[in-house]
Amino acid sequence: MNPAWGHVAGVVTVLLMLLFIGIWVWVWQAGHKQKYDALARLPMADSEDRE
Amino acid sequence: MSSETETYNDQVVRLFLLAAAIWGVIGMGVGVFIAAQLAWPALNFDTPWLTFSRLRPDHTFGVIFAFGGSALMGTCYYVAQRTGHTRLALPRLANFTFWGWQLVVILAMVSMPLGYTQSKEYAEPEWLIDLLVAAVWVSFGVVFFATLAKRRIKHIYVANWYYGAFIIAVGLLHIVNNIVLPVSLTKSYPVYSGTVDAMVQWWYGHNAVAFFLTAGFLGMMYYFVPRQAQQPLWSYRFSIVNFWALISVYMWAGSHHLLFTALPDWVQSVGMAFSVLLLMPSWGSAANGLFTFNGAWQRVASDPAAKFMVMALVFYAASTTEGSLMAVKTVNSLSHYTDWTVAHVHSGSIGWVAMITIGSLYAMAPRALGRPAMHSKRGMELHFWMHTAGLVMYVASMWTAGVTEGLMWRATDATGALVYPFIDSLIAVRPFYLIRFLGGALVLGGMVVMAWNLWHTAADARARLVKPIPVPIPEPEPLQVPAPVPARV
Amino acid sequence: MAKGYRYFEAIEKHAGKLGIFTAIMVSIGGLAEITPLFVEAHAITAAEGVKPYDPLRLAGKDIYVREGCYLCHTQMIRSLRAETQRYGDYSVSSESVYDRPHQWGSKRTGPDLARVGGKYSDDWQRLHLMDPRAVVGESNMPGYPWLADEPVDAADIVARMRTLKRLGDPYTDADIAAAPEALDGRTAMDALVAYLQGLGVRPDAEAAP
Repeated sequence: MNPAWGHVAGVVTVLLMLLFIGIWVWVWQAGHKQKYDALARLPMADSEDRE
Repeated sequence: MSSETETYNDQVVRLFLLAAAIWGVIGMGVGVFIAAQLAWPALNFDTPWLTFSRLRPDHTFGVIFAFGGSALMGTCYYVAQRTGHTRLALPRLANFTFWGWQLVVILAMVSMPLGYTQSKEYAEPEWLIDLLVAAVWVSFGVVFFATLAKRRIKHIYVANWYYGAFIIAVGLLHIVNNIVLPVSLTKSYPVYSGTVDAMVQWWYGHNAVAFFLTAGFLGMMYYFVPRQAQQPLWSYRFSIVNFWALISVYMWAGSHHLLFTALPDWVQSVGMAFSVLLLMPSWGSAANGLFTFNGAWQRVASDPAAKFMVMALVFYAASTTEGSLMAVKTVNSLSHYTDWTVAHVHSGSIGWVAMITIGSLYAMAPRALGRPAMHSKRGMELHFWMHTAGLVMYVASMWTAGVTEGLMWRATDATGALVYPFIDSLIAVRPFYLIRFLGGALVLGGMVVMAWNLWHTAADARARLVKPIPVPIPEPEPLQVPAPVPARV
Repeated sequence: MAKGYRYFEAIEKHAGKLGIFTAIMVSIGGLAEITPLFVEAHAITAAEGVKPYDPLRLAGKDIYVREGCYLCHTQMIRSLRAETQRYGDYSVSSESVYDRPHQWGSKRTGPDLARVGGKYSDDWQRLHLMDPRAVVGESNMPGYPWLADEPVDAADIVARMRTLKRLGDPYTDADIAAAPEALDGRTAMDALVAYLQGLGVRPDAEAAP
């Protein structure tokens, strides 16, 4: 096993971690709340209910 | 309604619904039969195609790809249309995906008992069938993404993300795992051998669980759970975080199927670490689904479809927790190769996969079949209790059997010698094989009740009386890319 | 920062971009684990004494695959004391380089077979395959009596050896030419028993890991 793989794995892990935190920060931006609330209602938006 | 009004294409959805009901009964029926063979070996009848070892791939293929696959493709087409407020793209290709998939399933389930197999678990069909699978799968992806592309809702609803990941990843896994050199029309050898083949195979096997049995069915969950709870998703943002976490972490964990084997140690350790990390997105999705029912629990009590969904989410949380636990080397040394694995797989498949599917089918069927509700609510209730009781019997008996085997295989006396010959462990678990058979039979009985219920609910559809449902055309949003398709009114 | 957000939002709104990013994210893990194995694959050479299957044993291995034996029997002794005590030395990569596909298995309804070769007599194996309960009363293994009446198709095995040679297994033309003679009059049962009796048997017993 070439030890270089260890460094590659480390860098990839850190990058993935940063990406993950970035996504987390991004989706919790206050400005997106309204949009997401609207999106979350999408499954109920069908006008086809017969009940 | 004018004849030019755009309507949802539910025709192909109904076909998949029918196929799912039929394959569910067949796939689980084979499962019950092979469970009986393990308890009473005389049931092999010394007949090649009725022998356990030739029939088991029919059970796994039948429930995963025939039942699960038909349910996933049907609901995927249904959800993509509803969440995009648009009609399904490429109707002919969509029909090809239905008939092509049914042909794949029939060819596979006939050829495998006849001895045509690659012997790669969950990828047993030979190369010609694999090519057809690839053609159908690519078509499925084209129909799905083309439908997304012509949607009228600016953002892509999260259920579609999961369906999309399911389609892309399964396509990738299928192709990489099945690269072979044919000897003849019915026999081939993989280009990989030994350790590399084992790693590729379990990268496939594990991620078929991740993207077929998890991401695909999470797509189903993220649409039908809010729909049935009549409440918005508990946290839409959380579902996005979980999506990226799930798809990026799952692929790393495949090597936990090969702990203590000839696979290099570092690959084993990486697999173990990422398996523990997987707890986060798994619990996240389960919690998101369950919390969506908050404040609507009285509805769950009176709605069998919602009961199936709640139980599915509980078993999703439970079996993913168990999976991460079993990926830890200490636990794995005991559990691997035993019936504990079988218990784990079935708590995931009968608990999570089958129950979210059944709940979603009960939610979707009346709408797709032009009825206000399922034919028999008592039938649904009966199905729920048969399924749950069968599931508990199955999982509890196989878990006990697995731990018994694991402990007996490693038991040593004071001198350090092994206590039990192998056959003793088989004798010890025989009673549990019987309980497992009974549990499986209950689950199968429930599926027959569902098939009967769907048949009656489909009365209008069979008489071709179902009116297509018009697509609600939303107000156009400015600056939408790509530009929305104008309504054809 | 705001610019970055816009990029992410673009993913959410474009089916194509969402698909591409998904494909990238799902590929990273697999690539990270499988690429090094490929790179190192050339380093895994056959263990001393491990040769490509002779024609009869190759036929037997393919019967083992066809009948689905891997669904109840593993061929992978893990590096755990209880396993090495029961089954023998733990399995190493260099022992399965000619297995296409690998037969490591995932479930032991019956015992591991990685080193079953020579543990029982040929007659025992034959009897056991015909009717397992005739020799192991409590066994739940199916019988495979049809193997005894099934001749091995030499032309088919020759074609298989040629394919394996193309995949890099070191068969010589002489090996392949000699196959029909070696298979003459043999049954599927003979082949399977020959395969089982060769499992884990190395001519040089000192080559233990």
